[in-house]
Amino acid sequence: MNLLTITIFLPVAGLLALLFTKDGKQARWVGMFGALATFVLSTFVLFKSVNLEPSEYALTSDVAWITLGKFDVHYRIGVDGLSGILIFLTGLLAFAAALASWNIEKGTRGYWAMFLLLHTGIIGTFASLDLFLFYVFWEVMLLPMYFLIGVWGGPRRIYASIKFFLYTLFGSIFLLAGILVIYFAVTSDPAFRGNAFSIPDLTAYAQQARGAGGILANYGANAGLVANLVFWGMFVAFAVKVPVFPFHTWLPDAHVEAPTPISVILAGILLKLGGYGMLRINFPFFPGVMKDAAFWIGLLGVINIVYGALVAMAQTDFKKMVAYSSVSHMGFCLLGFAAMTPEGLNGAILQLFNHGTISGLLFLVVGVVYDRAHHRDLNRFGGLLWKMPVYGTIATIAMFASLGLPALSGFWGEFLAFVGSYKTTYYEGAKLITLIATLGLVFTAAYYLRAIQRVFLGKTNPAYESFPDATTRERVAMIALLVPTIFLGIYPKPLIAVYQPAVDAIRLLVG
Amino acid sequence: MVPDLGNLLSRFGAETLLALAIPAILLADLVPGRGRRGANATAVGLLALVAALLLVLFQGSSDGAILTKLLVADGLAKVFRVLAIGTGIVAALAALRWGDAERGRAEFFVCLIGAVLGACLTAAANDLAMLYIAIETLSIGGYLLAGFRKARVEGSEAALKYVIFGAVSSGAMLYGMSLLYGFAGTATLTTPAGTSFASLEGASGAAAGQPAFLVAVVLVFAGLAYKVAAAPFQFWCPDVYEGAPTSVAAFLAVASKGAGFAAILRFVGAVTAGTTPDVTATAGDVRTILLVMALVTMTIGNVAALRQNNAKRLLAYSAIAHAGYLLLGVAVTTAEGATAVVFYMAVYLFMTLSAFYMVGLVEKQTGRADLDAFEGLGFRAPVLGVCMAVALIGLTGLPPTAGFAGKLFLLQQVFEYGGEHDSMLFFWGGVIALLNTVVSLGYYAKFLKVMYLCDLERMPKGPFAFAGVDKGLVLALTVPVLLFGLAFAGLYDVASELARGIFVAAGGR
Repeated sequence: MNLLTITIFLPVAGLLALLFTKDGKQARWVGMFGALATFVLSTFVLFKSVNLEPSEYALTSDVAWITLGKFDVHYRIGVDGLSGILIFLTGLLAFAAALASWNIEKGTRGYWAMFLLLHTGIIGTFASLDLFLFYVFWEVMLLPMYFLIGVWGGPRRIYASIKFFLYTLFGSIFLLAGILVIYFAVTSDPAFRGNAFSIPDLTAYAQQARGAGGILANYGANAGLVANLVFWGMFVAFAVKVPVFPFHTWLPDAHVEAPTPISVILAGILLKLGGYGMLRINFPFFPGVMKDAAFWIGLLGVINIVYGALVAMAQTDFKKMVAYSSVSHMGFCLLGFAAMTPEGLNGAILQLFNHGTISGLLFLVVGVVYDRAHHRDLNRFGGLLWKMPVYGTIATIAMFASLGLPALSGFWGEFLAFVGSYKTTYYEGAKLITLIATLGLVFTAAYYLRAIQRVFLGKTNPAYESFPDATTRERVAMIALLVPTIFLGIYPKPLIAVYQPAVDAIRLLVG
Repeated sequence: MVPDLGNLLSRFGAETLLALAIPAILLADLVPGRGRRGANATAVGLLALVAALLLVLFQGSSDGAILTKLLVADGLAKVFRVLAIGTGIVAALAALRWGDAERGRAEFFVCLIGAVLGACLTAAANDLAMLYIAIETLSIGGYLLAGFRKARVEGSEAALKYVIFGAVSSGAMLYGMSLLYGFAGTATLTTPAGTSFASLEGASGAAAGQPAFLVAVVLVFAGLAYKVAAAPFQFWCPDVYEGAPTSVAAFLAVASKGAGFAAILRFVGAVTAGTTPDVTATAGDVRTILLVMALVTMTIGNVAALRQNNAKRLLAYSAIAHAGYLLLGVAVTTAEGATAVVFYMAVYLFMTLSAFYMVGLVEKQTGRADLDAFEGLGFRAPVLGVCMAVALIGLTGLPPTAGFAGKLFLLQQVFEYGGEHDSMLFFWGGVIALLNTVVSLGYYAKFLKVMYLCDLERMPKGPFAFAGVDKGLVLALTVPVLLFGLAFAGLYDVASELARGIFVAAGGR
């Protein structure tokens, strides 16, 4: 059986095993084991996804699923370097989040069932090479997330979960509309010889069909207009997940209300799905439209960077600050995408991965202190570094990584994205946009340094004198994410080598 | 032509049986039995419904088979007759379980079987007069059932509203029908393959040029829109569903709507048939009217549902919204569109019946039908809670449920029409329909919220006690929702086979 299929559906097997557990304790072990096994399998997947040619996929599997004449949906999966590193990231964060879920006492079996189902949805989405399958997995993620935030979240969990659900569905209907329009346009197009849902087939066809409508050339007289609408519609679908301003407002609510492990997964992986969707579907399907859209995407990126940083600076809630920093940091990905230069794309994808580990780590950091103090007010802490040295050190490194200090992994993504964006000739005005974006760095440094100073330095708040340092379980979870942060900061080359073919493919297809 | 009794019985044995069952129930009720009063009538009624279902299911080859010109026994008729009788059985069981029929079981079954008979005839009617009579039979059964719990004010109010709205719209429909008859010189709707009698299909070519032709068509729509609860004839729906016994509401939401859609498909197919410029122009207008009607209906239903706190009213508005989605499949006037309608109607049956059944169960146990009655249902009744959640997610149209597949096919038709005919109207129509899905999530998620996201400590204590029969029935209704969500090719093929004859002669292609 295909390793990738096993990786996708292993969490579901765990879900079935949960049915036979007697109490929460057993359920916790089943869930923990499921997460660990997913991590191990995802590592194998990563090793299988190296050394591929551009547009070549490993671990492919192709089984007919629903056949109704031209409506020919396949279970078609595979990985290239890009999906490989993101599946690995998913496994890594699943492991860290599972450790952080240890203390969930309420409805434990339900929690782990949703936790595992969520991972099937995420890994399935990254692995899909069929549009229909992609959409199904994409939506399968929604419900577990809705319940995880809504049942196990903080005080405003109900509002946050429904908001998350509505925003994401709002985005994904445009994806569905796009899929249906593409389906009709290519199946009625005599020039298209392939499967109407196959992502590789459609990507290949997008290369030949360079007319106004691109792959939608056959969508009647309005093909050009419809191609633009479908491009931007799909962009909205992915932009909600990233999240791109002005579709970001679900994020602070969801991140703040979600329990710690779910915040880790939200920030670490779910946001990456948006960027992944753009690279895999949005841009390669419509290279013609992308050329015109690049400026606007770059502009949205810079708005994200500066606006996210400014709002993060205004927060007094630790978790909310980290949440807005995600908005800011995902902007670098957009900036890199829009540039379409090797550096820009490399930086953007590196940022996808590194933001996953760093923001996951930061949410764990917030979780540790919240578990002890039961509040997250930045102004009420102080001097924690002296009382909790291990925790304080890890937290400080994580924040420095996030603000882009050289020799930590956050630096490379931002640096390359800036270089790529500054150099690009793909669209006009890139230099100005890049210069404005650098402002974001200053603000980012400001709010992180202030947070370090208020929480970890200075005089210890007497109420928190007795705080124990991070427990072994907490340490393992944080160190699991700290290792790649430091390693990739010093030596990012191995990771870049894995996804380099994917970058070449995107540049060939779109640039 | 002398009606051929053999032909009648082989094609419409089910209807004959149902018609005979009505006096049989009344007679059986007179026979003193050992059990409680009405036991005999119940047995006869249930037996008749099950036998009728089997008769329709195993009816022989149906192509072109007709009984005089009034009824056709084609695939479309078959699927909607199965749907009506099947819903009738579930509604009867539900009514028996919840005591909705306690005022008089014999009377309840007479009304129910009368309504089922009307629904079956509506689905098979191929003549304007026949269609009118069939719809009235269905409606009168419905009026009586809606007010069946006479002692309750809401029940009487519901029945009265239903009657008044019904009278107005069927008056408009009758007027439209008479105009059509005047234009075409025939009241027959379609000419099935292998026959040669005159019908609206052939005659609308000559009549379509008249401006009043479109008016007549729209007037007939009025009656049919009332039956399926489409705007602007949807006002009765929430009040009636709320006031009527829940089993009856379920019947109206599925069987009555289904029969209406069978009639709409046949009628629209007849008036848009032909390829002359006049017909093509009229067909274009009809499509635009239907599309606008569909979008307005779903928007009204979804937006109004957001503010509901009563589960039955909420499901009523959801039923209105679904009439809108289904109309999308009619609006494209293609065989694929009709297939999508049949497919969606089939999955809608399972989702809606299971949702209504759960509402009825909770209502019986708590005596309330407001959303708060469902508090913590997901934890207090884990299995049935999941079933209810599946039904709600299916109604929203999310994968991996059959509701997603159904909406997918309907929308695919709309986008396809937009591309094929360079119609940005249909393109945006598809987008608006999708946006409606998001709106609908607002209230389905509210339902889920009450069931799952409640405060576990403050949740009402004690599990819901549901009988094994009820559990089995709800599970049986839930399994297809998941099954057809993952493997819907088979169901689609069947739907496509059954809807094959519709719109084949339609113009504008």
